[in-house]
Amino acid sequence: MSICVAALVVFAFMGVFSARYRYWAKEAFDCVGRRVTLRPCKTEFNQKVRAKITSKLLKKSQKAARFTHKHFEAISWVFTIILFVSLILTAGGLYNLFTYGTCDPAQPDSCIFTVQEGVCAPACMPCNCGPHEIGCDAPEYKACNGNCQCVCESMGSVTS
Amino acid sequence: MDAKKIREDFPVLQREISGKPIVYFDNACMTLKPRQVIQAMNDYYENYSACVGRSIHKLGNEATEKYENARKTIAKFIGAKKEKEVIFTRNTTEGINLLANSLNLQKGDIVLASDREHNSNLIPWQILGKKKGIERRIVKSKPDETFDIEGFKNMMSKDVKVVSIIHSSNLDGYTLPIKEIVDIAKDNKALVILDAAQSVPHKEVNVRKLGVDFLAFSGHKMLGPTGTGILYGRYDLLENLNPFMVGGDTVERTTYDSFRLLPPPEKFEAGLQNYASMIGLAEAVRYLDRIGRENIEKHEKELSRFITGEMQGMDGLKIIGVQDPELRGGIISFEIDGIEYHDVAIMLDDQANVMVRSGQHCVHSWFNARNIPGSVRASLYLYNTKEDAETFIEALKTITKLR
Repeated sequence: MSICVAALVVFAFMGVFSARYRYWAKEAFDCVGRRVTLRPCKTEFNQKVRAKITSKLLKKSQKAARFTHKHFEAISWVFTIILFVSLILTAGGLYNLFTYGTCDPAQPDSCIFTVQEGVCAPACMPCNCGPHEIGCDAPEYKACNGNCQCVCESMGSVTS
Repeated sequence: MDAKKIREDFPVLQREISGKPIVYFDNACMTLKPRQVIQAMNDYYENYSACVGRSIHKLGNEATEKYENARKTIAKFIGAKKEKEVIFTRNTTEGINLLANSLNLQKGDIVLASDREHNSNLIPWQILGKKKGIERRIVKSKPDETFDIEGFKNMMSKDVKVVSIIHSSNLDGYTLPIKEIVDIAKDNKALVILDAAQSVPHKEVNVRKLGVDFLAFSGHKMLGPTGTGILYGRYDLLENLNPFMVGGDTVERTTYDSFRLLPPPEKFEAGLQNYASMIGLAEAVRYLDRIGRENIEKHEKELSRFITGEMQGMDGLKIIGVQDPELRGGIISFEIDGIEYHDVAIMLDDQANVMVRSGQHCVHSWFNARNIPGSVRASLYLYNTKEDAETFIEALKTITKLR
């Protein structure tokens, strides 16, 4: 069950970029659908994923393959839990970023996406501003987001 | 017989997947098609794709001639007395269902079968049991999984009306002593229906020499197109059988209140048929005849012997069913202790493009009676080579290291 859920999330995302993964996402979706309605997984999806992963590992390391094959259910649970914890943290971070302008309101400095109004990031200084921007005052500089942007609002031109 | 040369006729075998050739060991389920069969079918579609036996124009005549020639070719292939004993079906399953529903069996009549019947030769009789009250009896195998001819003899009686039995088993390739079975059945005036899906493609099968009354097999297991099958029936028996399905092309004339059926085989072939595929099947038969089924059988046994020998040294691997490769033909069913059969099949495919079947192979009853969850089945055919067998063995050796 656990691998179906994890695989559905992973393959659904990868399926956006490659048709190959859409097939797997469809199988995973079918498997999850059946499991949540308390029916057996018709597609033997768990088994397919287990055998495919084990087979790939077998070419690299017999020990790793044997371990994975024997403890696949436990490993898949670990990965599922990690996946969901990551998803929850990411969702929280995104919410904070859009609401407060930082992914971590308690420690804004620890978030590289934190929006800093009015000053350029130190790494961008000094800005190589064009002739129209020379003479603009510091308050007219906009958020840098890591890039050095010289914005003179009165003239409306931007130079990076 | 040169398997490497034969491979050149099979477009699928020219393919490589992930840079590796295909090792096709799923022939008991479906065989690949040679170029000649594909061309014969294309020829129909490109040059004379008209109705058979109804339209009297030039294309219709050409199609009718080719179609009826296909029937003659197939009749000769199985040693039938005349082509009218050959009924075109979709597969073995349809052939057996047709018989189960056409034979006039009554309550209390006994149908005898082995304990290794395919679902196709099990469920139709089970349904008939519920519908009409016929009785089914199963002849259990001996401890070494071979057929118990003495047990069969003891179970025969005048109430046994039909012996419906498999010729070569699709689960382990074991061929039953059918001549002896037929002789015993005939002594008791029972009809014999032979499920020959796994024997006709691999060995000489002559209906008259065997003395069977009916025989069913599939075209797709013998290089033919999918959805093709043959039901052979002794003509005098076919004449007295009621058709299972009726309609277009099965009748001579009808009124609003009555109908007059055509003679066999037409009365059993209702509706427009799969002409192109049957013409393709006849081409497959000609292909097999050119190579010779005795050569195919010999070739498969050689490979089976080699694979069996290699398998015997593998830790945790167990061949199921009959152990002697001489009795098994080209099928090897096995399980690996500690690794599920589906896992083995997926890994064989993933590692080396070795394509096998896994599961209970439509013989659930046999597996369930023995508490065996399933097996991996490698089934060979004329285009498999020693190199294929070696690739398979090497991949298996790697997989068994997972234990």
